[in-house]
Amino acid sequence: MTKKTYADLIPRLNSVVAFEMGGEQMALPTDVLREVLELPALTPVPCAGDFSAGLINIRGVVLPVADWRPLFGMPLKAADRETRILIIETSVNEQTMTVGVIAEKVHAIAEIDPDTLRPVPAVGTRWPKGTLLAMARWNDAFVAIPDVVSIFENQISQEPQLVGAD
Amino acid sequence: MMDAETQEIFRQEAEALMEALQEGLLVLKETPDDLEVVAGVFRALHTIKGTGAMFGFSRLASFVHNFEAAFEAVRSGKSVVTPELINVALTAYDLIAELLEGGEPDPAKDEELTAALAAATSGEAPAPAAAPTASEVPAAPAEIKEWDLQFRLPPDFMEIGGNPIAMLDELREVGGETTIVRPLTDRLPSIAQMDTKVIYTGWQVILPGAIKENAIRDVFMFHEDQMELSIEPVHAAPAAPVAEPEPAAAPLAEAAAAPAEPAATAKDAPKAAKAAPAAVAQLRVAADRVDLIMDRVGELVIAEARLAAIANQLENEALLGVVEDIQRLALGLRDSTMALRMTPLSSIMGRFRRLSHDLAETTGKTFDFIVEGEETELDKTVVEKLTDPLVHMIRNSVDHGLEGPEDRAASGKPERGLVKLSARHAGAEVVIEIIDDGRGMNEEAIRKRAIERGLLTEDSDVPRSEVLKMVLEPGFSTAAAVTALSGRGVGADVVKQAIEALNGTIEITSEPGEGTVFTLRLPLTLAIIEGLLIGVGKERYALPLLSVEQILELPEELAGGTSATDVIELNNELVPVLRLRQVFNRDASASTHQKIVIVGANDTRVGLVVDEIIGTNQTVIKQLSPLHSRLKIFSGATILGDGCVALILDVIHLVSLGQEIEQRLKGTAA
Repeated sequence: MTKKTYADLIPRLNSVVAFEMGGEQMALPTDVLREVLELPALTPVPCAGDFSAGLINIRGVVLPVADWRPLFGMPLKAADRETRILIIETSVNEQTMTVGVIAEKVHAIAEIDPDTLRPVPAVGTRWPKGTLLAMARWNDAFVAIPDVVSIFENQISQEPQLVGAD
Repeated sequence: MMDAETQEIFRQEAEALMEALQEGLLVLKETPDDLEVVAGVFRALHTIKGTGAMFGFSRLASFVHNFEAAFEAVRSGKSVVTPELINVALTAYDLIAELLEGGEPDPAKDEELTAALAAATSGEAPAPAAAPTASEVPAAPAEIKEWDLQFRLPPDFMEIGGNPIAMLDELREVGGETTIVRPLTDRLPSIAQMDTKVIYTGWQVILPGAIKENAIRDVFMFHEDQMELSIEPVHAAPAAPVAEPEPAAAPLAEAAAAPAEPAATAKDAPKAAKAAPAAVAQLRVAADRVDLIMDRVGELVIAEARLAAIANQLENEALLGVVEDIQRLALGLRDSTMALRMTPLSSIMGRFRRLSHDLAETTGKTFDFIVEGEETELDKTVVEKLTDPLVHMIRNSVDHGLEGPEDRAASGKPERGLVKLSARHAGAEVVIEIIDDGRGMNEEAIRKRAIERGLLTEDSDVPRSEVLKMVLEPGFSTAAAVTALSGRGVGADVVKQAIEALNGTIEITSEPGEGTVFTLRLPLTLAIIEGLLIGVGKERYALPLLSVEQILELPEELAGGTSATDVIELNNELVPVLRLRQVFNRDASASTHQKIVIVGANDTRVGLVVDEIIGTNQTVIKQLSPLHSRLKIFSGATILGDGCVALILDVIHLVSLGQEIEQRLKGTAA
């Protein structure tokens, strides 16, 4: 993690959305967050791999929804009344993309103390390289701050699975 | 200088005029003595000059002024249209286009072209006897003593900010001290009926004969189209009454103002010159507004489908009646909105005529360029995105396809080659063909090159049509020498990409020595299709209804199968079959009423095993995000009546999957 990214991240920490998946606490700066929704009817996209949770209809606009849990090696907990979708606006190869991300629980809009920022340990964590910007502490627990741009860019640059015609 | 926004308005205005100008010049190349076309060219130049000056394009205006002068010479019969004049005029057109784009070409160019235009029109002045005038008019009309000018301003002249007094002052300035102005009050209504904002008065102005007619017309430059204007010369010869004919080669503008038709307005002139079909009032609207309406209509169609779904559940007669009305209205609205977006291909044909002219100059090949079906209409976006690929393909046909005159003579062909662009509707598709009668493609050379590039292996057994398509691959060129024409940056692979991006396909057929045909198939529109909704497992999918050929009960021998692929015999033909539930990896158990939907594209068919046929619906196509757009099997998504999202299956991809299966089956059978 370079110093520069830290410097970019610090001013964004005074407003983050704190959420949870696979038992891990996570946080995203709210400047990328458009809204938080209860899970609407989700249409799966066959052959798209497990990173794709499906498509949803938000007021007449079709949005893709991503499921980060397989990426982080987390078990897939069935949707319940606490499941939410974070609608975020990110850029993929310099083009804006609006996309939903499944969260098992959303806690609050919070502030993170910049002094608690830590680089992601190179080994010994569940987080694949390039998926987090940093770790930090909030409410006496570690929170992971995902690198949204790099997560989506990496996924999209991967070849899609070919349709299994036998 | 005006601000950028105002200049942009001018550019948009000028676009149509430029198109007409170029079109006119190219028509004149074929029929040099068509005076109507000359008048049309002149009119276009005149308007570009006028509005250009008004919007602050001074360099453009002064250049066009000289350009116009050259055509004034032709119009008045002092000169004739020659191939040289057309060539210079087309180069001059390019300069105008560059100036319009905001470019800063070398100022020396203006003078050079002005001189060339003058040279092309002055040296060629024909002897009076040979003058291509339609009417037998005395060559030198009697000296004009004075001009009798009568005009009536458009009724809304004051409302749009015009100032009649300033106009009269300007006329007095042009005419000098002897100018006489008289009001024409014959159309004054009674006071009770008068509207304070409308001008009822006309004016008669007598101006000295020494003034040029154009100087008078310039006063009315921006209003001539909307007003009534007649300018008549009064001749000195006492025996000659006012009815004495106007100057030689009667320019149309004057013909319209001839004494026999005092009420005729100057507006008639350009109309007649263009020889346009029935004039429908045109409205220029920004494309994004139409897109917005299209989006709203899309939403409306979805909402309407939801309403219909609810009404069907409630089974309320009155409600169902209203729903039916709304359905009808929504469909009508959809169709008329789609029609708004439709543009005839002729809107881009001028460019291709020009291109063929340029190509003939640079390659030295003589050929006829024929266009068929240019009235064929397509979605505006599709038309725009077609321009570059078509330019490339025409260039390619001339450059690589057509032989030089000697080679053609040697192989017993007529010396003039032929390049034909034809367009026609076929169902929901538009088929565009680019045909040449040149040397045809060399399959062996292409195969060899493809093997070199690793696209094919030595022993691969690929049909001829597939080999020919290799020329559309990136970096593929069999031309021994890359010519200046072919190296302009648009590669054949760009053609392929552009057509595929429009959901279209390209086919190539070619016979050695006889020529090549490129066939493009394109959808009419990209926004809404009629869909067939099918169920696979628990999910629903949409298929374009137009590609559905047949729906069959699943034959028993196929019912038990669990592999993703199979074949079925249909009218003595084996058709590959895809079990969508397996292809999509859905674990729900199969329905007991499975069906096969036979879909076709590019003359090939594939059967799709589905669990349920739900019905037809209006499918508003939404593009998939980058997260899913590379799944070729889906061409988009749509929102169903109940608000759920359904994926739209890409028939062309399904068919190609089917072909793969067929190939493999043939492989194992052999």
